[in-house]
Amino acid sequence: MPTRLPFRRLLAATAASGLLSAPALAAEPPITIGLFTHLSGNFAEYGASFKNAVELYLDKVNADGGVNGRPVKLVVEDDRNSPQEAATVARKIVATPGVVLAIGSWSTTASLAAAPIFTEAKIAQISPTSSHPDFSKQSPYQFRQNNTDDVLAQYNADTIHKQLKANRIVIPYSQDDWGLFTVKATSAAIEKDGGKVLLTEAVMPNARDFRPLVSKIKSLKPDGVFLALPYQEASIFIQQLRQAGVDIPVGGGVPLTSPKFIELAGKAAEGVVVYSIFFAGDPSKKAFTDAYRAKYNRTPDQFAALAYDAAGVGVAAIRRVVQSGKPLTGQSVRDELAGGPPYEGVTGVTKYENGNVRKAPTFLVIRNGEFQLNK
Amino acid sequence: MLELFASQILNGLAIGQVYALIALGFSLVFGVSNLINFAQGALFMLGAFIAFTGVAVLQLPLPVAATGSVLIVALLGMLLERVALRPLENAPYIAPVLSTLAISLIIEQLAVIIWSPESQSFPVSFDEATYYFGDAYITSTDLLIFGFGALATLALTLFLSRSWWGRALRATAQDRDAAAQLGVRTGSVRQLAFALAGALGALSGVLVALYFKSVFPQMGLPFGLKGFAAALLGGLTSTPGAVLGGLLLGVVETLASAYIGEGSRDLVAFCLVLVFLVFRPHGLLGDRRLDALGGASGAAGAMPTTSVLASSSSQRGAVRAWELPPWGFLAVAAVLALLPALTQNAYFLQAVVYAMIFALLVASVTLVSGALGVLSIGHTAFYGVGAYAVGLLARNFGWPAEAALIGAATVTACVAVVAALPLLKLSGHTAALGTLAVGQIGYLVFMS
Repeated sequence: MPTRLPFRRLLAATAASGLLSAPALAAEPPITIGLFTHLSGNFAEYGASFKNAVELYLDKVNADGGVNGRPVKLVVEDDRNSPQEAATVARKIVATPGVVLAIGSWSTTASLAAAPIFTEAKIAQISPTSSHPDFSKQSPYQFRQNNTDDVLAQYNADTIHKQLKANRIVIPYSQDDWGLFTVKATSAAIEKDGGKVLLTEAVMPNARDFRPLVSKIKSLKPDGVFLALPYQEASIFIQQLRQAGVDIPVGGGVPLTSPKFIELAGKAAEGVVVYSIFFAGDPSKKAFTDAYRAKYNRTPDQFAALAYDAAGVGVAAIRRVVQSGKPLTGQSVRDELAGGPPYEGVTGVTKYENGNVRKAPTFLVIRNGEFQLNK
Repeated sequence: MLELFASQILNGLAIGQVYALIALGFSLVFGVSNLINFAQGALFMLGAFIAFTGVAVLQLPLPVAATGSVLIVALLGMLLERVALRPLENAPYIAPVLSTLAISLIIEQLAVIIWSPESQSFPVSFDEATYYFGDAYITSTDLLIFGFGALATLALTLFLSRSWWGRALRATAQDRDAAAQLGVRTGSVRQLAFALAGALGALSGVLVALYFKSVFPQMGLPFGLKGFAAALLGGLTSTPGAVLGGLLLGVVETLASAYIGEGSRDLVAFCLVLVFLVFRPHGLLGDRRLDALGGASGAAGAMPTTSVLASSSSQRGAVRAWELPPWGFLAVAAVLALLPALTQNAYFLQAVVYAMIFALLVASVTLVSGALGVLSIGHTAFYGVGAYAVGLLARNFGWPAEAALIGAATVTACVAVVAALPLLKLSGHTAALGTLAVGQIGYLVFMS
C-alpha cells in the first residue's frame, strides 16, 4: 500500500535517530523475541495484558543497557485466540530473522496449535498461561509459566480442606474438559488428605437455575462447597445457595479470581476463598504493580504477571547464552531455559522440570467486595 | 426424602412460572397469526436489557424502568410485525418463520455490540427475603413473579373475553377473512397481538432478570426455546394451556435435574416435547387447530421451497433457478481441484474449503426441506454426529482418514434414520418443531 510508505519512512527515521542517541546499543545487532496472543475479538483484554507486561519488561531491560549492550526487540502477532491463526502467526515468527525465543499463546488450544512449528524451528516457546498438562509434553521446546491443572488440583483441595477446614465437601463442576479433569483430580486430592466428597455434579454451560441442585446439597448437610465452575455460573450458583439459607464455607478455583465474579455475585461472594499465584495487593509485588500502573494506568492481572515472568525468565536465559560466549541460537536459549537456575519472578519461582513449573499459591478471601490476603 | 421431593416440586413451580410467562407471548401470536414468532426470545432479552439500562445507567427506580421497558418493547413488537412480517403476508409459511429467526439473530448481535457479550449484574434496590417450610423455601422474588404472572394472565384473559378489541382478536384468530368481511381491521389486530406479545416478553424479561439478578445477551435463545416448548406442551393457542405447560415443564426438568443429574435437565425437557409432539400434537389444552396445520398427519401440503428439486417441477415460474447439467458439477469440481496448483495462498484455499463445507451442509438441508417439505431446524445435530464419528473412528479405533470418512457418513445416516422415526407421522409445523427437539437432544447428547 503506497499510502503507508511515508509513515514507514518516518518510523525508520525516528528509529535511526533513537539509535544515534544511544550509541552503546546501536553498535550491536538486536536480539529478537516473538510474542503471539489474541489482540482482537473476545477476551482481547487478556491479550493486551500479555503485550503490556512483556513490553514493560523489555523497556526495563533496554533502559539498563540491553543484554550485554545488545537491545532486545519484540515482534508482536495477533492470533485472535484461534488455533488456525496461531499456527499461521507462529510460521511468521519463526520466519523473522534473528528470533531466538517465542512467548505465547493465551489458551492451551492456540499454544498447542503453534507448538509443532516452534519445535521444527528449534525455538523455545513459553506459554504464560497454558495449564493443560499436555502442552509441555509436546516436545523439549515447550515451556510454561503457570501451574498445570494437576498441581492446581492439590491447591483446590487445600483451599477447601485446609483453608476453610471443611471435611464433607460438595463439588459442582462445569461439563467441559477443564471441569471434568478438575473435579476428578480435586476429589482425589481431598480424599487423600482425609476429607470426604459427598457429591459431584456436572453443570451445563450457561445453566442458570441451580435450585434443584441447591435443595439436594441442603439435604446432604455438607460443611463446604468447592466450585469448579466458570465465574458466570459460579456467581449465580452462589447467590441461589445463599438465598436458600445455606451459609457453609465456599472455595473456588482459578476462574473465580476474576473481579467479574465479585461484581456479578455481589454480597453472596463475601467470604469465598480462592487462590492465585499473583495478587496485585501483595506488598512484595509493589515494584511491578506500580510500574505497570504508571505506564498503563490499570492494575496488572494474573495474566500480565505471568507474561512479565515469561519475558523475565526468557531474557535471563538469553543473557546466560550471550555471557558464556556460545553462539546465540534458538537451541542454545532452549538449553539454558531447561537447565537454568531458579528464577525469582512476580508469580513465584520458575525452575523448569520438563517445561513445567511448580509455584506456591497465595490464598485470598473476598471481603467488603474485594480480594484480600487470607490470613 | 419426601421433604426433598416436595422442595424440588416447589423449585420446579418457581422456574415453571417463568417459562409460563414467556409461553404466553408465543401462544398469543400463534393464536392470531398462526405464526411461530422466534423473535419472542429476542424481545424478552431486549426487555431485560432496556430495564437494566434504565436502572443501572439512567438510575431510574425499578418500577419506572420496568414500565418503560414494557412500553418500548411493545412498540418494537409492532414494528417487528410491520417490517418483517406484513410484507410476507401471503408468502409460504416458511418465509415469516425464517424472517423472525433472522430478526432474533440480528437483535442478539446488536445487543452484544451495545451491551457487550458479558453477563452483567442487575442491580436490585430491595433486599430479598426467603421463606422456609422445613427444607423447602420460596423467595420474595418468586412471589413477585407469581403476582405479576397471575395478574398478566388474568388481565389477558379478561381483555380477550370482555373487550371489543379482545373479541376482534379472537375473531381474527378463528377466521381472518370472515372477520375482515365483518369490518374488523385485521391488520391492526395483528399489530395489537404483536404489541401484547412484546409487552409480555418484556415483562417476563424483567422478572427473569430479577430472578437471576443478572442479564446477558444470550438469554433470549435458551429461555425463548423453553417458553416455546412450554407453549407447545400447553397447546400453542390456549392461554391457560401456556401456563399449565410452563409449570409442567418446570417441574419435570427440575425433577430430572434432582434425581438424574443436573446435566440431564434440558435433555429430559426436549424429550418431553418430542413425546407430546408425537402422541398429543395439540398439547394439553390446545384445540385441534394444529391438526389443520398438519398436526397428526394432517394435510399441510408440501412446503413451497427454494429447493432445486422443487423448482424443477411445479414452482419453476415463481423461483428462478439456474440449471446446471450433471456434467457441470464434475466440471466445477475439476476446476476447483486445480486451485491448489494456481495459488499457494493458504488463507484463500481455506476459505474455499469452508465454502464447500457449507455448500455440502446446505445441500443436505435442501434435500430434506425441498424434497420432503419439512423444515429441518435441528439439522446441525447430524453435522455434529458426523464430526464426532470421524473423530472417534480415527482416534480411538485408529481408522485411516478415508475409511473414517465413509464410516462416519454411514453412522450419521443410521442415526438420522433412527432420529427421524418419531417424526414420520408429523408434517408441516409440527415436523419442523420435531426436528428442533431432535436437534436440541442431539446437541445435549454431545455435550455429555
